[in-house]
Amino acid sequence: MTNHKPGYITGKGWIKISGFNCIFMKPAYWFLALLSFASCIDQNDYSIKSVEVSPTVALPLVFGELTIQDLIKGQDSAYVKVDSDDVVYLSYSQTLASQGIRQLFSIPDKNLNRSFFVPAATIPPHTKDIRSDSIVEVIDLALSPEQLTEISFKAGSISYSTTSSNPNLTNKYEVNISLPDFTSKTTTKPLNVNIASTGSINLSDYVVKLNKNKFNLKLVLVLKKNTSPLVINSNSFVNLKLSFLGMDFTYILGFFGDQTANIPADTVDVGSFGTSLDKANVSFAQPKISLEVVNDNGVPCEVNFTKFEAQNGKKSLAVTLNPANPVAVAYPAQMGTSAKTTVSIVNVKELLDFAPTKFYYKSSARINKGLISGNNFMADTSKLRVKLNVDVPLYGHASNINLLDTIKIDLGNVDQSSVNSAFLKTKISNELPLEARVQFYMTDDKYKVLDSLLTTPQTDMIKGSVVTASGDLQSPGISDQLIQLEKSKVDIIFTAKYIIIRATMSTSKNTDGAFPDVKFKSKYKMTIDLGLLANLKVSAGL
Amino acid sequence: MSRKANVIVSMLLACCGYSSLAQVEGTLHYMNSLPQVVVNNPAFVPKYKFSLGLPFSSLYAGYTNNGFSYNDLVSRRDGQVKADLAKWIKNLPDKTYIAPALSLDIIRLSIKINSKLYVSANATLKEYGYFMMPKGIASVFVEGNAPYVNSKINMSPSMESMSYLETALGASYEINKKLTVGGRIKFLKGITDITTQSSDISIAVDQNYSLTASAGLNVKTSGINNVTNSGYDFSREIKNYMKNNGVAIDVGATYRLLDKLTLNASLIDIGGINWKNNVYQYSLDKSKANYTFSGINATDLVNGNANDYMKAQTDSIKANFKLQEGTTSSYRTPLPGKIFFGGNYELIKNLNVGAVFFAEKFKGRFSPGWTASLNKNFGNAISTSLSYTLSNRAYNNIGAGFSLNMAPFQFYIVGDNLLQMPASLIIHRNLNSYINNAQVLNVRLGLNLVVGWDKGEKSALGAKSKPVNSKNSKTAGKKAQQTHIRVRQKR
Repeated sequence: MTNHKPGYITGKGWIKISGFNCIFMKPAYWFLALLSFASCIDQNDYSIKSVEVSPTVALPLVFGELTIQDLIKGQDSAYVKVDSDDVVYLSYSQTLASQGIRQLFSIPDKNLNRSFFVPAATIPPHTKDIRSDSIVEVIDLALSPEQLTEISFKAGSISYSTTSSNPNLTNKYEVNISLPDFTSKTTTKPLNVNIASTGSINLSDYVVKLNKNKFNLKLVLVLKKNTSPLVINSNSFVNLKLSFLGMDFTYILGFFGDQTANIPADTVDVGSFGTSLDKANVSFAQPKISLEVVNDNGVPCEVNFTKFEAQNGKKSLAVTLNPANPVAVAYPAQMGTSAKTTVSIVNVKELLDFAPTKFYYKSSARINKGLISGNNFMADTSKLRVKLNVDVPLYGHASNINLLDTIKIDLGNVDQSSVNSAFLKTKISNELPLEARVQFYMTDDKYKVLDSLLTTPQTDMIKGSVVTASGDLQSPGISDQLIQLEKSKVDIIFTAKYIIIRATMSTSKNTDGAFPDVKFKSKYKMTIDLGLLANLKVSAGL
Repeated sequence: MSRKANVIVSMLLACCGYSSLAQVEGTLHYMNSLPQVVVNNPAFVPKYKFSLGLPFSSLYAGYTNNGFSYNDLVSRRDGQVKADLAKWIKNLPDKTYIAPALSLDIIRLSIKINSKLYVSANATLKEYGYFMMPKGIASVFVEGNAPYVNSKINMSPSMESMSYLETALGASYEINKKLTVGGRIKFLKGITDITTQSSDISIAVDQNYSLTASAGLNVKTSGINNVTNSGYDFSREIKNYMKNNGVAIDVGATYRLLDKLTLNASLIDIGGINWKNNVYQYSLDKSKANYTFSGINATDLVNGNANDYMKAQTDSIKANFKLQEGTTSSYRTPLPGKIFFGGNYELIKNLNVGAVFFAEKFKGRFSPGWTASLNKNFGNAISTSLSYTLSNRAYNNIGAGFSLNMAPFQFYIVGDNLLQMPASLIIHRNLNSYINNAQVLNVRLGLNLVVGWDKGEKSALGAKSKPVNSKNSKTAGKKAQQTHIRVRQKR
């Protein structure tokens, strides 16, 4: 036993009170106290192994208003129009601008070699030019079957070159070229120039009057003034080479002959009908197809559609024209104007119900058919335009329209047990006379379907509006459902690689179950609110 | 039970059911052996005529959580501890306040001038704060937003944190045999502050599951922003910290209603601090910081623009909810004001029973609670207190106070949930049970230099309080020490 001084409390861990040496003043004891406090704590109690929560989340998926314009594919949006009754229609238009007729005409190059004989003599000095030998002739441009009367050049030149056999004549002569049928557009004067050595004359400023492709040419040898005697030996010649090169026209006049020009084939894509209508039954109430031929060429013309058909995949349907093929088209009376010929399509409804993806046509144009003379004209910019218009008012009925879209997903890193239950909330108010069954197919990486997400009754997601006898909106179709998704199907989403969304649509039915003609107006909207209600199981190890 | 008693019991239960948060020391209230008893009421007169607390001689640390204890947060299965958030969320109040508090005496001096006048002075470093988490935040995380369809989730948190140096001068004066009044003036120097001026953050879920988030927020800080700056040097900045001035007062009184019954009441920390140093504001304007997500726009979806749409939405959220930061003008924050009202009854000589209702009011939040205590002075050598406190929706607060008075030294420890600590050690051989169940943890401990146990005069706390040894305190102290030694020797 330890003896203690009175007034003290001591012993291990007890208090020794001796002035300021109290052990409680020493930090070491505080530290020990803290340690002993900590040693009285079972740390395992604070080692939380995991955390697990099961929140039920309500998430919005899709919202907004869709009109029929929105539902038509983006690339066709330029073709969507609205008529005066607010009915939406698709207007496809394609113009084939052909210069096939223009390309029938080209002006060939023309080369001339002419020589002037200069007799032997000594010519005394002279103060004025002396006109010597001359050549006059008619040049034929050798066009056939055209018989042109006038050409306005936009390009071309006369290239020339002169030589002499006698060196004494060098620089002592010129050749005068006179083309009286060639008139300058600028000065209105005929072409008349002296040339020597080599050079060229630009023809783009000239108009030439022809007589059935022919014009006049006069060449004169000119001995230039001289201050000393000029000795000319015997057998002296001056040679001239003239070439009419690269001639192209701004316009031509005359008779163009009986000729045929081929016009390249063209197509009009009618994309909205697309593959989704492959197996669809569609009927359009008031479709319109029109064909216009616009002719800038001042020449009688007949267009022969060697092939004109609607195509849907490998199937085709011939277009019947009125007037029947070949079609004589009007031509303008004055250069710079056009003449339009409208051709009717006889079997329009049959063609549109065929749900074509494109229209194909190939044609040729014959001018001056059976004629041997005439006054034709053509500018170098003249075209023959074949314009096809397809107007499809969305008024009619359809069924079994299939729309497909594929979404790539990869939820491989997500624990598939993390969804306890899921509901799809759909709230759709549909003014469009269009109902749809929607299914989600989950596939593997080779697009092999693993399962579908919805049961068959659940696919009836979008109800069409009720329509009046005239096909107008009577009341919207309302769908407000909380669709429970089977957990086994939801689980497959986590292993799937793709989800194929398939919507099978048809226009609204009447009370008899038949499909009346319905109108799709621009003001009709489908108001959509889709949401997901899911109970999740979120767990994490710590 | 009489009707009056029923009313009282109902009030008590209402108090403990209230979503309260009070950083108040209930057990300390009647520990009149300690000079620190004046913290709760400046009219109180401690037993010692002179006391001196040297630097760092009194440390108070407190933690309150009116929402949950650790045991509410976890479950134990198969020997493993798992976070059980479903259990946690079940009993959370609408607002969970988690509040730490610290107080450290730099110096404390108390002198009884004469039989009527008692004066005290102290310089104390204080830190007070809380983080308020609305139930909505936890609920969305644990339960999801589905329970809130067609309603709005309140997600407005708030945070308060202030630290300051309090220099106080107080006195109590006996007006007459029944009434004693006291007061204290406190000169405050703010150090750092974070205050939430406004917080209005919510997410609304409509019937179509559209989510609308909006956020209005105004948080101001002082003395914090520049700490993050490179080259920050506290020694150079200390002058600026002195700019944050404040004043607060405490007032109190005791009234001897009966010979053995004394009532007491006080108002503590009535005042505030003007914050001027390095004042920053962080805000969100609700008119701009709002956003509704209704899903992917159907038009964008059918046109294949869903990714672009989502990117645009993300950019929009970033722009709308960008926190605005900048300097701002000075601001004022109140101290967490407290009110006490209690009574003390002398059962037998040196054995008193007391009760005190208290409440804290801070920035519109009113947090009541109460403590009942049994206080016994074993001579002038040992003073003890056994208490029960209802506070912060916690019902298991069995507190204790103990002071060993070996003049001139006095060691003490007092806390509102202290007694469970040894109970946990005895029953479970560890402190886990104590820690895991605690929502209120506070302890004040330290060492005072004390002189002059007040013999036999009536206590400022009320009932007459004569020491065990009426001759003198030193003899009584020796007697108590000898008694203790005898106990030790028997072992």
